[in-house]
Amino acid sequence: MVSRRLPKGVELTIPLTKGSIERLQPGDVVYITGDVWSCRENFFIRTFDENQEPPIDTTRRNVMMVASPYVARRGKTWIAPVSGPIPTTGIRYAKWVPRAIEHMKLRAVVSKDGMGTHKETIATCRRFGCVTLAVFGFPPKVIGRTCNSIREVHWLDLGATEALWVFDVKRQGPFIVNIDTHSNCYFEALSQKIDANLMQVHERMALADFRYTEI
Amino acid sequence: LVKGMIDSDLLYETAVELLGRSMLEIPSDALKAYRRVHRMEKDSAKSVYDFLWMCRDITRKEGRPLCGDSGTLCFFLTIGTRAQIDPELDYYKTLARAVRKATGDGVLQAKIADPITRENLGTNCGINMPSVEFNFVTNGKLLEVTVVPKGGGAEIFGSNFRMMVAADGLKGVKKFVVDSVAKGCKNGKTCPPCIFGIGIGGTSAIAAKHAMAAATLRPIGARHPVRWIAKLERELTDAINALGIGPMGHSGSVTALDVHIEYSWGHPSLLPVAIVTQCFVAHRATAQIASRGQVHFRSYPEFWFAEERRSHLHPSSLSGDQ
Repeated sequence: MVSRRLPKGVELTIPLTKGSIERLQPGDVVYITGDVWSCRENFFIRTFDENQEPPIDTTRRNVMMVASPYVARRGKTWIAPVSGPIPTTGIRYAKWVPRAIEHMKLRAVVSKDGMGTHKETIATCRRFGCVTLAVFGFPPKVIGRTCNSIREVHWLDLGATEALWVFDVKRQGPFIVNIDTHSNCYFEALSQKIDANLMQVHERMALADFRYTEI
Repeated sequence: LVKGMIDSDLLYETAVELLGRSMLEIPSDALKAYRRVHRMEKDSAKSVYDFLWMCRDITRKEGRPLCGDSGTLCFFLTIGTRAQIDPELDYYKTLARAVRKATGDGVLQAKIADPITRENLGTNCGINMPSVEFNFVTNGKLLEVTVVPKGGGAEIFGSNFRMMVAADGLKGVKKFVVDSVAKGCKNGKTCPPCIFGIGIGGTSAIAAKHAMAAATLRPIGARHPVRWIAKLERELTDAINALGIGPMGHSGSVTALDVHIEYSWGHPSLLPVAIVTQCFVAHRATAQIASRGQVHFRSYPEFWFAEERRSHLHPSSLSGDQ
């Protein structure tokens, strides 16, 4: 039944080196192998708003994924019965992600949207040597099944969904490079095209001169 | 308890099954829509749909959810007034019990949390959650239950509201819709292609409620019965597709699987417009429970938009042109 193949891409192994990511360009397809860790809102609140040090060595495990893990407890161990981490939208963490890249010395941040066209993230990626990766298309299913096992869990008191999970993943992807280390952004050009299309739509619908009543 | 009545156990079992189906299966109307739009795309947009079919094959083979987000759990119940229902049935408790079960089984992620304190009980239940809404059909014999696990991305980036005034009129509505969609769907934030539910008229709350139902309960391709509103749905669909955002924001010819408008008359000084966006995977599952205990599963509700409800007080509006 499954005859379609995944696209070819660059293979990356954690820990990522500065050299390995400096070659990446927006639009490149990549796959990741190694210990990926996932986090959500409560992790950032504790780390940055409450100033606690992250419980893992982020210089060695330097790929952070903002994600939703499906996890379940079986006896004393945690398993991922349904799938591994599946990336969620990154731009809503815009308040924290640039600080995470700087302070945790991250080399890649994985999210659904690759942090969009967020200017501060673009500048931070260039300054500290980091890329952002976005999900390519609809393959959360494919991404989720590349997880071998759960290695560790930290800060479980934040809640199972919000805790910091370390997953052992093999050829996780496909991801697409959004922000590279040279201030380029895959979604930037697409975004400009959409803005231009919107102007045309306004013209066609006779909305160009329309102004809302200020109330 | 009269034999054959719809009771708590039957509703519970049905709801557990529904939650599983809503996460594992793509509704029939959405599948049909993907096939149509897949043919319209090329290059990377086309390969995005190739992946979708691949994911669906894996989902079916392995019985694991298609999307990573089991979302906010929203139930919509239509009660036929002739359905034989146990008068002691506690809908809220029964549906919460089903949600706890599906969460414990790993079908749903334990997502539901306090928005301010961030407390998460790990059960997907909490204050006013799961959400349960009721609707009635006079003389109906069935209890119809629909569950919509509403994904977070489409909610954060695809929800918009604007209270306009008469002077803004139809142009204001059109501008608000295309501008909101252009901003929210960029970079694939709402997981396009989407179903856009537009609630127009009434009050702020009425418009928002209509927008939610329009986005999540009406099947793709079904038009509003009022002709000029149906025409506006098509016009907005074409306008949104002309933005070129495409599947997951990778550029392409289809961004709107459909635009559904639900409409209400209201106070003459108000023109409220609400937008609710449903992501491409369109999680939704419906069950019709008959009084003798038979349960029929389907992709979308049959009775939520009952004609009597849409046309109440002013049936003549159904055939009227603008």
